[in-house]
Amino acid sequence: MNMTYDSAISASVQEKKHSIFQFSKTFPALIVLIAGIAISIFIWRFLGNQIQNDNRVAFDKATTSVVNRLESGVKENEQILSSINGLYANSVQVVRDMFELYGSIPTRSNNALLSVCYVPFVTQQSKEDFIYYAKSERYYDYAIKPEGNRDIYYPIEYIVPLEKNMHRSGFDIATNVTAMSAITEAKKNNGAIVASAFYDVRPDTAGFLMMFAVHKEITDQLAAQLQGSLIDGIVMLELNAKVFFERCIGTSTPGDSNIVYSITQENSNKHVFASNNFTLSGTYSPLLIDQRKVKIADKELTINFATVPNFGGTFQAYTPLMALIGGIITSFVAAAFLLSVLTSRARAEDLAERMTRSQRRIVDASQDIIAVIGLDGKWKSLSPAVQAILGYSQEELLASDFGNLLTTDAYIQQYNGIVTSAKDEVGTSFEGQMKNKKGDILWMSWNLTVSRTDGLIYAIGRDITLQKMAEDQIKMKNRQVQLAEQSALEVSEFKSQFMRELSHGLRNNLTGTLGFLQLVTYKVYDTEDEMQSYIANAENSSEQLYVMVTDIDDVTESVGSDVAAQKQHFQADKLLLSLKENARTIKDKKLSVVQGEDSAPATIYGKQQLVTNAINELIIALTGSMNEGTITVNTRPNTYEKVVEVELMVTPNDTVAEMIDLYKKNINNLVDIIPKDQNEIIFHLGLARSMVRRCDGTLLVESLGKGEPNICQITFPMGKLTKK
Amino acid sequence: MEYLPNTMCVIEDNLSIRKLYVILIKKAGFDVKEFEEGIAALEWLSHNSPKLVVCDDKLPDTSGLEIIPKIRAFAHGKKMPVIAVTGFAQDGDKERYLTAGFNGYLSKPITTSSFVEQIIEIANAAQ
Repeated sequence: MNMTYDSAISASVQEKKHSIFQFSKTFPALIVLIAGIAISIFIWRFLGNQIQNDNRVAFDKATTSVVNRLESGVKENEQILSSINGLYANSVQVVRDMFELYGSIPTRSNNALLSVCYVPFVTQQSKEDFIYYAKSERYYDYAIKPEGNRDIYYPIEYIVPLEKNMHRSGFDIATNVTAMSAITEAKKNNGAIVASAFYDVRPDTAGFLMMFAVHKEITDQLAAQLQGSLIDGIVMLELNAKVFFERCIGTSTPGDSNIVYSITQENSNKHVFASNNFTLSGTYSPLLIDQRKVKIADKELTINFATVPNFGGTFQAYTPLMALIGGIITSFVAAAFLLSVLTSRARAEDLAERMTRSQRRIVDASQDIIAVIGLDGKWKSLSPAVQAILGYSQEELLASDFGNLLTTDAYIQQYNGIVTSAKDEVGTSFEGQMKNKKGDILWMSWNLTVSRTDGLIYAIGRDITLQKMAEDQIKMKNRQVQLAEQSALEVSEFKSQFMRELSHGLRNNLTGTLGFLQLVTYKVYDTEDEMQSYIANAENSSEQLYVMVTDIDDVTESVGSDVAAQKQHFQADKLLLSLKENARTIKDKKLSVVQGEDSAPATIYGKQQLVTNAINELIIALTGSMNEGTITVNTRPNTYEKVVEVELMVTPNDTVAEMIDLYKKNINNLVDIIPKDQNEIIFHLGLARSMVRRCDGTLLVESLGKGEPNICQITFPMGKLTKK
Repeated sequence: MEYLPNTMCVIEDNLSIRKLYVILIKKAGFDVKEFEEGIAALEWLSHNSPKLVVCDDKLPDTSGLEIIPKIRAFAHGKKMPVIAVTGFAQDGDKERYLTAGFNGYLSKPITTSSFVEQIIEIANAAQ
């Protein structure tokens, strides 16, 4: 299967990911997650139940409070009746004043009581007696209402508060079905308190009755039966239902704000009372509901309770859910954190490996050699580029010496020097020639970073052979241009000098010729012989002119206008001193200039600086690539030829000898052989030659053979020794 | 030191030209002291003060430009009229000779009819 580099890396990454997140390493995080979720659920349920319970407790508390208060209110009224019952039980007869005295007290304190009244049992037969009796009780206008003949009457005899219920005095309760029903029950219940159903006890007032029957003190039950009833009458409380409930339960209590309730009487869905907030009912679904029974005497009321909307608060409603969500999130976070901690090492290792892989890719792809060298000079690692550049495989070079590839000892020394003196962790450049596997010479530029901490040298090497060749080409071209410039300068100076000499010569000879002819013309002579001598002199000058014209080469002495101004007579000793000084300044060469035994005092005529420069060029040429050497200088006057001979003898050097031979063979086309020049020997010889010629001198260069000294013989025009 | 107000010194290595100078100067009524070489002329001038000196530049043993500072170094040489008569007549030559210390400059070939007048004129102007 063909696999690309990227897909291989990707597959490796996936495999690596799998190994990082192995279950055996990461299960604690899973446990933490599961436990966290379980605890969250438990907390959610617990909180929910807790809140539910709290709500239930609060609800029950509120409902119980209502029930208790209602029952308490009922008891209060029952106690009123019991108290009045006690009055009847302990009195032979209860008259108006007694009734009003006992009955007024509760009516003053209990605003739910519309009235407390005594309703006697009156038959048709005893009606007139009753009315009479009632009038005797100071109810002067007493009459049973509504009028009419009925078998039984239950007219209100006594009623308090009388001032509010005057209109009720004499009212026949029995005419009200609800009231009569309650009276019938009261009669049956043998003195126990009974309550009526809720009805309009007044035209505009809903209420109910609480009563008990006052039984006769009759030992003879038969007689009582004959009388038609065992009771004397009914003591009755008329209660305002709304006021009654409000008084019992209260209009608002803190707990009541959490509940909605309504009170219905037995066998009826009609509310007899409801909480103030009962209007909310039906508009929402209550959290909790309850139904409680309360008895008013023998009547049972049903109270329907419900919680108000947002019972417990919205926050409380969502607290369990929030706790669940928070717990789950926390569980995941904790599990992730634990997973991160558990896998951190593996991930770090994986990241380092991936970084190393990507960096390795860069290293391997680089066209430069990226290598590590030990401080001992041995290769420790190399990038694949070494194969392409140097021809060696990585395995072939590992553990071998870096210096083995360098071509000369000088380069090895230079490299060692760099390693020894380089600052730690600071890059240094090194250029040198190296031999590749084929034996070809390459120019390599190395950037070396020495790390003494690591004990390694980090090296990046680049093949700069082409660059060097280009530089050499440029240098060579420059040298060719310089030589050509020198030659042109030489030609120019020679031309100027020639023209000057020619002019001088012509003028001189014309002076003689014209001058003497003028003397003849102007007859500036006294004798014939004098005239003849003038003519002879003129002829002589003409002959000199002729000689000059036919042999122009003899006239071309280097006396150019500006050049002539710079020429001077100077001792050859000064030349030697200059050479010694200059030799000391030649870079990278340790040269010594010594005076030869054959030297003799001599004076040179010429431009001292040009002469010195020419000799310096010769020294540079003859010392070639030597780092050190000795130049022996001999200067001698040659009075016969009127020149000063300067001889240079230099330490043997085979390369110089070779170049001297090449120079001699191509003396007239030096520019063309510059490409074959080594160490710029021919270049410097060419410059020197031109300079010597400009000094009106000659140059002869000889090699005595391999291993023998190389010699230069130069001549300069002799100058005049000045007398002191 | 001998003053020779009627003597002109000629320093010229070309025989024909030197002869011409001598003839012209003598015809003008002056004595001539002629020299072929500069050093010998200097030796004589160190003890003698002629009316003027006519000096060529290119001499066998020295040059006119080398001689003039030596003449001026003599106590009596500072005001000695020295005239350069030379075959170097390119741009700058005249200025060069005058800057070097010559009192005048004539280029060859000379005009024989006015040569002596010219050198006397230069000498008189120098003094």
